[in-house]
Amino acid sequence: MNTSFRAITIATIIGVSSAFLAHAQTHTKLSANSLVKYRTALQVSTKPDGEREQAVRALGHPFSMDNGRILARTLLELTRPEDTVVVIAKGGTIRHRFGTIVSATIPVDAIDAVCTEPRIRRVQFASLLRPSLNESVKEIRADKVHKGEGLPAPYTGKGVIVGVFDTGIDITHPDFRTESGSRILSLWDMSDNSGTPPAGFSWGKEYTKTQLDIGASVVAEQDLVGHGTHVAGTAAGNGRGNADYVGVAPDADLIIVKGVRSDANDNFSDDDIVAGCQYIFQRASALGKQAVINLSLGGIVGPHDGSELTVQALNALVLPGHIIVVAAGNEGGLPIHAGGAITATTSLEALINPINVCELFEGFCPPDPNYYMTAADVWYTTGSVDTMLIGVYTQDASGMKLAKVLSFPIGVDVQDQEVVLNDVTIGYISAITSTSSLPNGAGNIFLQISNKGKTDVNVEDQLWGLSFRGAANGRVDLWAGVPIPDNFAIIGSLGATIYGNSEMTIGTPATGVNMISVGSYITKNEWTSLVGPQSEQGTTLTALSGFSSRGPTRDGRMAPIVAAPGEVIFSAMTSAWKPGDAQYDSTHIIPGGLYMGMSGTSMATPHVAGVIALMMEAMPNLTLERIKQVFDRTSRHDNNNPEDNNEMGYGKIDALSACELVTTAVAEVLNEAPLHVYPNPATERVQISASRPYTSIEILNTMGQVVMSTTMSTTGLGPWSISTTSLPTGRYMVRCSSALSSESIPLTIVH
Amino acid sequence: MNRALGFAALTLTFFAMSCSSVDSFTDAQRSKCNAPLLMIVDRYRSADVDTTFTVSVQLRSAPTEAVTQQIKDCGATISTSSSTILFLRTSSRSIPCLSAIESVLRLEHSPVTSPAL
Repeated sequence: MNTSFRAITIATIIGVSSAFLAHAQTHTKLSANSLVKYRTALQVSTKPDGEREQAVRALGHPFSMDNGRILARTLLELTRPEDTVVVIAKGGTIRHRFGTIVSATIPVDAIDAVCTEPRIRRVQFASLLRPSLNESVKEIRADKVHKGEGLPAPYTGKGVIVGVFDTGIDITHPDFRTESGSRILSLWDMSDNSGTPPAGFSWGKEYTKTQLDIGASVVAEQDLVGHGTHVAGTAAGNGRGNADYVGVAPDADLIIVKGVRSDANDNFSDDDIVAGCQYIFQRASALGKQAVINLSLGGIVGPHDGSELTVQALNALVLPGHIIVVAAGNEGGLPIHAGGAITATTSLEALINPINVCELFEGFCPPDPNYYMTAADVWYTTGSVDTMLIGVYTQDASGMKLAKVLSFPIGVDVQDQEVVLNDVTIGYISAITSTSSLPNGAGNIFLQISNKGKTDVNVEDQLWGLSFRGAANGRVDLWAGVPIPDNFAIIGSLGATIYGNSEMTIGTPATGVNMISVGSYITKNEWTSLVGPQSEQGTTLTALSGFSSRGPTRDGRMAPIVAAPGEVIFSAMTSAWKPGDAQYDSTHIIPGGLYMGMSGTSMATPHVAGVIALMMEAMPNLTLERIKQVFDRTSRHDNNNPEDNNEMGYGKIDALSACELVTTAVAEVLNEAPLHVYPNPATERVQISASRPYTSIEILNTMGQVVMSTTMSTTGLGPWSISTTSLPTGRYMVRCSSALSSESIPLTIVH
Repeated sequence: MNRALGFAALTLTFFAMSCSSVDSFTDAQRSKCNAPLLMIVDRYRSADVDTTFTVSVQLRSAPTEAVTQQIKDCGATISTSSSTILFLRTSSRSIPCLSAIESVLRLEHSPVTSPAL
């Protein structure tokens, strides 16, 4: 034991205590935090009249002035409810009653008298809590992380960059500013080519911090869609516009990329997404900061296994301290996927309800409003399919019947093959049936059925059956307009019918192995809007959002990784929308006009990005693997997700537990430490074991001072059992050393 | 130096020839492209107009000046690069030319990505 440290500690305690000996009763009834506030207020009360008011103003909550007296808002615990008379007799004013707990305003100079009153059990100064982004920030316990409950310090994302690639941001929104200027360190507007692009890029216009500090007079960027502003507010809004809407990482810095090339188009291009992420990470590195990027976006076409080049490019950007979070997608309620096993002697068939998918396929449909196209993207085990059959089903009084069958051998591509039924053209088929070996070792069929813009060709008037004839054991998955779900009880004629479901609807790039994909669950279904109370019918709080896309990925990985609140989330609203605009939905705008409600996995994703920013502040340079492991260990399960699954992944994110884990025992829990301590927290004894031979053990306090040390008689791996009864409650480090090496691990002692 | 210039000229001539018509789009070249990209090339092969879109390109190794020039000679603009993956803004008629570049291993077109709202 280091006796000199003990002596210093005891002397400090005696010194502090003696200052308050005159207020012994006050001591016992005020919490330590309240005692400090009380002491400060007493000092202010001795100032001359002219200075006192300003000093009280500087104290802020819970103090105020009235007729020269300093008043404090307090919470009191009484012996009986009627004991409020004692409070009033001491000069207090009762504000609210909650049984024997009352909220009261008390003159600071009467606190001693209140504390000495035996009928008052406890006195606590009111805290100014930071309300959260409605329920969702509380739901994920980020508010407790902001206050540092049970943590070494409060974490608010300070020093970490939250990057948002989206539809832009309203730089004038108060939640993205502080008293001293903008919280946005830089902004790249890809829709504006009138200025200088960022270094290394050739398009768009970059705004500097200096310009952003000045504001809209020199920054032309606007978020006309509102999506990016809302997302940024959830991840990192500071609630300056309304403290009820504080985001998850309210002190994080922001770097924003407006990723649309034109305000007339709210879609994103792959190259812009990759470039935007490169830009954010490059800027963060130049500033010596960590960054987490929020991608509240996705697409549904592709192999669903993350093998696309775009996803690989994003994967390559992820490093320790550089993390990307992606929305799972909002196709969970759509039966757009069908799939099943196939053998050399079987066939599978999916019946397609042909919806027009021109919007989803850039470049595939000409700019012709009459163009109608349905499509299917088929992925199968290489060699398992040798022929695709397309059946045309019609309906008459006798029911559904197969009217025509067309055959397409794998490896023979067709372009606009006319399909005629009863002398009437009903569509044109284009199919790419590649036989080449793809990077993911899969086969791919890309099919389109269109009207070529001819209004007398009605693709949508019949069901189309897509049948695959097996050549070997394997699996076929397809994503199409809307495969018929099984509750229609319709059976195809060209093979075993595979029905539409919402499995594997996880979007791209959420499928990437280095992406943290996020699903959505419901935390709010009632709110008060500009036009009165609103409610969302048919939703159950805490349940998975119906729209939240499901996993697994096609290569069998769990997806999404984690779930967060995404329905209905109230966050920052762009000021680009004015009453009368189509987007200005009064039923979802909160009185005051600064915040609005939106739903989607887009809204869930920034909750997770914000939590990662908090974790990064608490434990710098976390790797992707560590973050995933922490989510695995700390995310919550309940009746809606009793175990890890492909709807909510590891579970509902828990910011407090995640930060606790990264700050207290990350190395131990992640099985990477050569040291193990058990139990942790410890009370009377702790057992220490090592995976390397050590000769001494030391326990250090948070000041780095050795408070206990032991030297072993022989070098070994342990376990060693050490008494902790002489050490006060607190956080420590256990350090094991030998002549060759030294390792440490956190330890908490609780008595 | 002169020999290098001569080789470059020959190379350019070869690519100019291979880019002269989409009809020269061989099976080997097609096999480098993903299905959505082939669909676009086929669709616009006989059309009066062309379309501009984004293509991701995987190269055998990090792009050299020569490869970058070959890509530009095909009529494509390099938008973004990430190690051995490039993103190009190009038209359907440039795809056969791009797929003829020896260093190009794969060409992909991805449909549009939207906000997940």
